[in-house]
Amino acid sequence: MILFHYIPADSLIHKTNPKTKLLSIIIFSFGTLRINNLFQNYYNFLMLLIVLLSILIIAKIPLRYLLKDMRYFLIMFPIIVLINSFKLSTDESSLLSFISIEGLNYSLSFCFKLYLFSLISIIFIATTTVRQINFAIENILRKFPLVPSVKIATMISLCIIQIPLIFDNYNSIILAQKSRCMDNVKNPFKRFQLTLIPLISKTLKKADNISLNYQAKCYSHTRTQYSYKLELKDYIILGIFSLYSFMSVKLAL
Amino acid sequence: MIELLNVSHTFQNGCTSLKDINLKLNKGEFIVLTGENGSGKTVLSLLLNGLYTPSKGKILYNGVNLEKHIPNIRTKVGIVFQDSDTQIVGQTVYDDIAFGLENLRHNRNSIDKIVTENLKLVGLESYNERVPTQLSGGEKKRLAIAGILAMQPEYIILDEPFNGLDLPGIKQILEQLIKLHDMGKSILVITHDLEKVLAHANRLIVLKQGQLVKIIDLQKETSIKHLSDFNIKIPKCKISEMTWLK
Repeated sequence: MILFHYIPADSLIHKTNPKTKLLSIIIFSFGTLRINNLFQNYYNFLMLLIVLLSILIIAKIPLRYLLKDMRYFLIMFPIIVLINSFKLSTDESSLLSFISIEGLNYSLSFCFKLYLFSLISIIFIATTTVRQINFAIENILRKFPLVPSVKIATMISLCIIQIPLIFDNYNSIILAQKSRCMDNVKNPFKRFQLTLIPLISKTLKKADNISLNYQAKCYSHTRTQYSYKLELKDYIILGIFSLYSFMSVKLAL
Repeated sequence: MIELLNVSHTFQNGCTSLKDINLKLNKGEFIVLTGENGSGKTVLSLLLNGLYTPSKGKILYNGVNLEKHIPNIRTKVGIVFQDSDTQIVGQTVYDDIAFGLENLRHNRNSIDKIVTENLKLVGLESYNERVPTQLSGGEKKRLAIAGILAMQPEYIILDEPFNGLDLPGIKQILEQLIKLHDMGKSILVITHDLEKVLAHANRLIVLKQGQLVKIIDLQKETSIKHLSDFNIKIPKCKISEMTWLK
């Protein structure tokens, strides 16, 4: 599984300043958030998807494996669509008696946006080490007074360390349970219990060990600080993303 | 020198893991700590690093109470955990070794220099940008050792360093330990595999049910057969032959 793992490669995206990548994600998210009408702005979404897939190819991330791993996200989508369709159902534009076109449009847009956000986050994590992410967040937040930049950066980087561990643990638990004929258990709640409880306890144990290791290596909030200075190419990248964001907002208005 | 005076440790659930331990760890010594499962070996190592605090008694580092100087003590006493996977936090080999140095506020140039030196020391010099998850068990162990060595400790504790390693892996780690000992570092190896390492050690310490039951000076003894009462796997050879560096 390569989801949420750092994938080393000699690519332009890997070499880009982590601060630029982080700021680009923020700008990208801001622009994407404004688009709420998939039926009208489908070309916009399509363009975005093409851009992200191109970045994936430039970053030399194995596309086939990544998209295969991302199937977990697709499981959530029908649930989101269904819930939102009910929620926004109106009498005027109902598709069936209880599902509205407006609701369907909104929920599909939401799912698509979620997929795009996930994809761009995965690209960011796959091309940036946790250490770089940590220093980039710290670097950006340091400019804001009264914000505990180091604490926030550490919390985020610890989460990023934990996510692949949870996926890896889940895979090993599933294999272990399958080897003991879990497939014969038909009750979905029982199956859920057989995987979830060991997953939680294993994850907590790992988190505990990581915390001990941090202490053993003298972790403190006063660490060596790195400054990532933005260069011309970084400003160009930020400019492109800002332009995109501006266009998206304009389109949505 | 590290001195443990009547040290006991009890977990929050009331389970006692160590009882009245009195022990001296001299500088430059190579010590092997053994004992059956649950005898308190790992707890003792965590106490020495200041990760756990004694419920009773005290630990002195060069005559100073360890508890009062915990951040500093961790730079003097390094610990390599049993599971290298949880010890390695960096996503590249370089990042992992740099982690400890960044915590100690070294500057960028100094970090680069120390990381390169320590990678060379453990024979991973070309692994700078490699991802730790793609390393073999022995390489991961050596990376964990390098991460600790970078912090320049005087004492290095290794918890079950040979676990899950194949013969070349064990040899590499053993060679590493001997090299570090020759450099003047104090080594404390926690292991059940006495036949792999005992020939290189100065002392053997045996724990049983949280109590220190035996300290053997290996320079004076030629056999450890009398330790069979303590549920320890006793190799059939002489102490001088207990090495896998043949």
